[in-house]
Amino acid sequence: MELLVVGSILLCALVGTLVGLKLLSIAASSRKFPEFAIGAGLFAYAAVGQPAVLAHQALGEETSLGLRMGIVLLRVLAFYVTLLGLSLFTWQVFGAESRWRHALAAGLAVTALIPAGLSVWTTWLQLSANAPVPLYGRIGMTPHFVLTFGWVSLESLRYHTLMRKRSVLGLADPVVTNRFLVWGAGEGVSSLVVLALFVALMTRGGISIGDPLVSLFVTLAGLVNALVWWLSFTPPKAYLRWVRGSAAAGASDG
Amino acid sequence: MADLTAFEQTCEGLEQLTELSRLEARGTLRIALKEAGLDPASVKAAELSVVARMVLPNELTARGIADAESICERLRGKLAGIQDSARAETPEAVFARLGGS
Repeated sequence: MELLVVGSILLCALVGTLVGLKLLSIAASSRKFPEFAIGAGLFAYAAVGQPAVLAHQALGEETSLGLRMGIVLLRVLAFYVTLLGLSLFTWQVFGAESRWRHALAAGLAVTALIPAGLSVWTTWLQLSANAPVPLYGRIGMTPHFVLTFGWVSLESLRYHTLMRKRSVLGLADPVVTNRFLVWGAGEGVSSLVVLALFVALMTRGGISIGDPLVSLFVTLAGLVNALVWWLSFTPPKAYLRWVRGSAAAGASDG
Repeated sequence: MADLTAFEQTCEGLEQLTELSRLEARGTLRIALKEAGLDPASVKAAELSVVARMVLPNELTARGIADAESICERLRGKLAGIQDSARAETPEAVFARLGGS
């Protein structure tokens, strides 16, 4: 089971890193902020955050405190950049002039600094003085991720319903319409998985990668993320043909 | 006239070509746009033209307006001459770029 968990995290990290780099290269040529925000967020999560989680799990007691804290800092920073990137992307794309979206993005970005700092501080106390990590230290930015993934999902799925209506009239590209659906559904699943982990954390007082239920959730999240990023941002030609074919068939049926 | 959006110009046209009041014309067009998944604040003239061809005739007929098809055809003629003003980037434009399409 542990191999499956590690495998799904590695797959997620590999796909996310490649997709993140592609989005950053699109941002470099377009000079637009949304692709930079989502590219940086994805790259930080997959290329830095996920490997840091694995490295932290793999390190033994004999590893120096400085190295372990360095990895923890890197992990927390990467996850914060992910949260920030996703929030700013969603705000900018779905309503840059909307006050409530602006407030929500700013609120998530500012309030996430508190659990991020506490998470680093309590880990420091645990590693340096063998102090038990309190619950709030273990929770970290988990509620922020539930909210952020949920927000991203709702915005994308809401926009997908508009795009579907436009598609019927030939006013929307079926591939772009499908992209809103895949991205929104994937983020929705991520939100639910992180929520499930949060509930497990609260009810069991902690979670371990060896726990079968936790392993299932982490594996599921890794596989779903890899699939969603791949289909959304680097879709294979066969998938694009299938989406266009399905849309054409739907139009002729209607 | 130049400062009016495509939506506002179409509302004015609808008001002139039918017996609908200003509020009724705006409301009817808003309903047609909602059915098409479009936003009155950002809809383009080309999109409105499609709505006037495929959605609006039914809405006008449902309100007891005779010769809805011909009215919509005249609205489309007016829309053909409208230049859309520059506006903020749409979500679909961003999502199209993200997939490289």
